[in-house]
Amino acid sequence: MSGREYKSTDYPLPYVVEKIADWPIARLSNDKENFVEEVKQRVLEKLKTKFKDEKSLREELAKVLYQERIRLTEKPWKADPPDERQFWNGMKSKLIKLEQLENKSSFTEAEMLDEIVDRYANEIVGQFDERAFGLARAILPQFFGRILAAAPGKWFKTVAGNVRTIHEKIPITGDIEKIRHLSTKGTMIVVPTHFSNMDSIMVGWILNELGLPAFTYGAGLNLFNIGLLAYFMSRLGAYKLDRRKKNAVYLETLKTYSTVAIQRGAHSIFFPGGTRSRSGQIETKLKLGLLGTALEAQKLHYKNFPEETAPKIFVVPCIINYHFVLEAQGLINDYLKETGKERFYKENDEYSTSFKLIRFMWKFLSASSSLSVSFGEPMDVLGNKVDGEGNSYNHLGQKINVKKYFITNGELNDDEQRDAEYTKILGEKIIDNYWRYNVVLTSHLVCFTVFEMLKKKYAGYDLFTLLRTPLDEISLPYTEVVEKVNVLKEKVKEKYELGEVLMSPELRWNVDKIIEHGMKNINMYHTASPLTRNGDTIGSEELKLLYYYHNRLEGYGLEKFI
Amino acid sequence: MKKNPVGVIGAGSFGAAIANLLAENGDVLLYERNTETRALLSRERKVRGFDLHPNIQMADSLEQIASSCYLIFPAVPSQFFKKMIIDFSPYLRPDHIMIHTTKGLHCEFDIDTADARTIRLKDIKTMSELILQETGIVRVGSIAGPNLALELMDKQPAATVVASRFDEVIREGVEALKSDRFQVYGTRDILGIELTGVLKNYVALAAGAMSGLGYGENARALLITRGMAEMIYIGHALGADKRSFLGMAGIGDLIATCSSPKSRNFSVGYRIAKGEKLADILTSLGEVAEGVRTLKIGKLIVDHTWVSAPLLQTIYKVVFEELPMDRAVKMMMRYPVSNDAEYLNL
Repeated sequence: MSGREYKSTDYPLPYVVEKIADWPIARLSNDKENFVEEVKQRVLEKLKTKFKDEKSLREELAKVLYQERIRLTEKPWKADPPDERQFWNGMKSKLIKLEQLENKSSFTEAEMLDEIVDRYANEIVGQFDERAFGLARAILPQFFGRILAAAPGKWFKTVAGNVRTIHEKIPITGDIEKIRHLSTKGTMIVVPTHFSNMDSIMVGWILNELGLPAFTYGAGLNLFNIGLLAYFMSRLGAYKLDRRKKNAVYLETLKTYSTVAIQRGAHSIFFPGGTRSRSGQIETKLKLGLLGTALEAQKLHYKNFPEETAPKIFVVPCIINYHFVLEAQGLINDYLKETGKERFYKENDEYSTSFKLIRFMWKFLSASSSLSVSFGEPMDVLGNKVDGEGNSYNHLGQKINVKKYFITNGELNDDEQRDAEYTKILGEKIIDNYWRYNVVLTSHLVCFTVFEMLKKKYAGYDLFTLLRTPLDEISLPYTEVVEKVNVLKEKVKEKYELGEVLMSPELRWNVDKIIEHGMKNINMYHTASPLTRNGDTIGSEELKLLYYYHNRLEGYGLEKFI
Repeated sequence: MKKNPVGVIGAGSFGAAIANLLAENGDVLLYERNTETRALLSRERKVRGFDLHPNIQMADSLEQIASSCYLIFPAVPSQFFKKMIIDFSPYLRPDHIMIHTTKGLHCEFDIDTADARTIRLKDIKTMSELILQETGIVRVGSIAGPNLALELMDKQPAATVVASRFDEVIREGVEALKSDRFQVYGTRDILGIELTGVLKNYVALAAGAMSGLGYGENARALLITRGMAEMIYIGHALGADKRSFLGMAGIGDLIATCSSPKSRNFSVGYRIAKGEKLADILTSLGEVAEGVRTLKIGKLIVDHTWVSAPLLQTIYKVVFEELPMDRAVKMMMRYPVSNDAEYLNL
């Protein structure tokens, strides 16, 4: 680690760019109309080279219309604009006319495409409203503070004091100074792990605490169904991302949107895992679509600027570790349903969303330590490490000119397949960072140990049988648990020293305290406790959750030491 | 626009053959590390009796190759490959494309003293893995196929396969190599192509030995067919797909090297069966027979992974433990057989 280290009391750090109006996202928002127009033109250009003649374009349009009409009937959402049906019906009759009249209609395939892309681009586009940002910044700490003040044992703290405790609870590790500096040297893409819907709010807030200008990110259109959330998100730089739309035209528009935004300097957040981790394990595979836009933007920079002045794009992995996850129950149920198919009987656990959310926030903020955030190594778009000034170095420490990756026979050229392979390489480097900068929390260690002990005890059972074992049968002697936690703690320490994982400070405590701390944190939120202690034994009220939290340490090869 | 010359590293018979093929499509810079050989080549312009193409220029250094060429073909035996690539590395950049031609493996341990139980498979590397590990080049490829150097030099028709995860590398390789007498196929399965090229070496050695005993075509066909099956199993254990073993670089190369006294591996086996000592053969051969190295590494791999490889095990005993070839054939013939072409179900 280089540069200065920050204490929890230093946060929030001063903004690296003082005037909010100078932030790239604010500039982008001010130039919204031109921006959308640029996106549109580039999508149309690209699609025109892809669908060269009228016939193939018409076939593509037919596909889009077909998929959109299915979406409208099967998955309509509140967030859909009211004229959605009307628009697509209109498109349909235009297409029919085109087919019937052949060269005689008053409009063309290209014009239809233009209309569709225009609609998509205007739907996706987000904006950044300085006033809304100021409002959120004033409200959020108050909100956190109020809940904190109401939480047990915190009655007498002042609001300011409470805000401070939030920072104490969220240890941030990583080379913060370098990240801050790089954000002024180029465009930054933060790629966090994805475990919870809380992640985007959490990451956005943490980046703000680091004093970085606001980031733009793609938020699921479904989140815009919720009024207050929609109000803020649509004004704080989020752009809309509709997972129902999988047609080529939409995906091209979305990717181009992201590429142009990055080219215009907007720092962005991508969740490369795509959706939240269902099993609770760290990502092992990434969705490369949006990630590829970072590479594309970098290549275009080299096309449009002379080598020395071409802006650089930096990718920064971010690992969020929660002691407990809001949606844990639902996620693990999804996962088991998927892996076990019909073998696993899923009990329904529907949320009453707002109540659950408030309750979660309460628990979250009154827990003694609810999460940790760590940043990995800043890298270029091929996953090479970069120094504080943004220069790239390969795995041998040789200084690298990133432009050269895009050069064949001395010329900068386009090659989709090559760039897709490069994106895979970047993805592998991000995954590697996720594993190495993962912070082992007490709760994860204890859950992992206990579940692996159960697996060993019921060695003849498959996972699904084990998860359905009657809970009163589940019981392990406390002393044995202590012994095994101790063994694994030492193994984690060894891995930490080899640079294979990070560990939270609590892991240096003695084992009794580790178990107590882990259990306290994990049981804080869930109504049925993943771990229980009855005198001399450890048991569980909810094996699926125990399994979920256990999965966080799956893949490090720790199980062989049980 | 005039294209940059293509670089070739190593002026052994295969390096020269490749250089001659490339020279038909443009300029070639050929580098040979041995200064005497280099001087001789510049003077006489002949390799094993064949002329070097006039489009070939001799290079003075690896640095010159790196600064003049975008496309580079190393043709260096596996045992010298690592040293070459480390020396080369400081000059290489991400805009270089490297397509190697070496049918051998590199081990991060000493293959003469290693214990099969304790080796790690990740310490056995293909040449492309070595290039990625030791240089800043990302666009790496490999070629393999029935390409006996002397027949290529003699301008006889032949074919090869260019493998790379990058289509661009395949394209560049095809463009640089193809001609009226040289077909160039492409595939993204680089691991499969590299392994099939390597593993066929010991089968060729066995074929030579069979031939040395005076056996004819039936025995050879048996050997080739079952040899390929064994190669597929070993390749599978190392993570390769079976498809490449059934293509030009697999069965194609196998047929060529198992039928030709021109193949070095074949002639090593042939002379062993005739009663010559391995050490004498290797000295008289002058050039490297990859088959002997492959046999040692292959033995470590199959012992480590428990892959059943009766042909490899037996021929290993013939080469290194002085098992007489006629007894070896009996051992192999007694080996229990299974269903025909069962490897297709892998």
